[in-house]
Amino acid sequence: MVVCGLFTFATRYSMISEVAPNELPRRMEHSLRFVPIAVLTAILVPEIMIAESGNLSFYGNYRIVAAGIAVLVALTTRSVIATICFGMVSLWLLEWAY
Amino acid sequence: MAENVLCSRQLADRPTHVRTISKPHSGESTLRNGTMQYSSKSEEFWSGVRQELPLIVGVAPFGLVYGVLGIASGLTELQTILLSSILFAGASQVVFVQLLANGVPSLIVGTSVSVVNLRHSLYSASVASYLRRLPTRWRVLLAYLLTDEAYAVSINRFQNGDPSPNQHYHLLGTGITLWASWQVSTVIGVYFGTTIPDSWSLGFVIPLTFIALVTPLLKGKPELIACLSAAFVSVIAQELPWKMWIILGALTGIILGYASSIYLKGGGTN
Repeated sequence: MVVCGLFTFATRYSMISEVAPNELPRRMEHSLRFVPIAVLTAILVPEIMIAESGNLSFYGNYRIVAAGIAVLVALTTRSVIATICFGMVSLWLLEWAY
Repeated sequence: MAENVLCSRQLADRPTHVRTISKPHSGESTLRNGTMQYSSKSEEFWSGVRQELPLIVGVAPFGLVYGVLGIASGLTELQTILLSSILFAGASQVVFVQLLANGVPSLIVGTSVSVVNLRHSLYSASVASYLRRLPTRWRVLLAYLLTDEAYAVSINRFQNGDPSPNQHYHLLGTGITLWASWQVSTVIGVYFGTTIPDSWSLGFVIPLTFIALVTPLLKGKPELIACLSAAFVSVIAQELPWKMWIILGALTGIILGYASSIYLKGGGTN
């Protein structure tokens, strides 16, 4: 447990420590702008698209519909709370209705 | 109090108004006697806290879910709670307790957790240029607090706000807020979580939180390409062990996003 904790910390510390090079190459600096988008997407999309069986699921997967609604809410309101609330409520309504 | 209303909307407004972060104290950060006034430490800290608050809606249920899983996996209450302080990484804590519950050898548990958390090295690289000048104790503390949600909020402030020498207090604010809500929700999950029915699908709040964070960032074609390619790879790479699809999808998204921003010069991020 502690080892896992230390390793996780080391990962987070890795690039801001003294050992890291002081100046990153410009190209790398620029490519880092895509980090938040790419990482968060790679976590969230499988959460929505993959069923518990580990297979892709489209038919009868209300999470996809609810996520679609959440994207629209996020685009229009740009509010985190509204996105979460609308997403959860649509999921509940869909599950309740079908 | 009008100031607070503004602040709660900041996260929302950020992509369209590049300087929103400094909005509540824009009076101070404009030219005064010909010199630039930067936001103070406490302004940075509290704006971090306020911008992180909406994310608790997503994090707290996840903490509850983790608390329940921890107890179900056979950890004691104390161990489950301690893991939240030691690891302080939601998804990998869930992986940890699930593998443990299935009697997986500790070496594999450790490797899996590490791979799940590899993405943090990308976060670390991304904030590095903003934090490198800080003394070691600061960098150690901020590294410990560097999570998905705190990173996502603070990197926006770093990239779009004014270059205040106090901007690391912003990450301190987002980090501490998230840390406290994670610990509290874990404890509640451990002691009361079993009373929450599965049918509430509380786990869904995590992808929803991430949708709320990612959507406003999709400002141009390169961003969209980064997002779609990361999504595609993370889905087709599901067969890989240890949630490797996260890092694989992320790297694909970063590379293609960057490549397309070069190719589409001008239509890019800057």
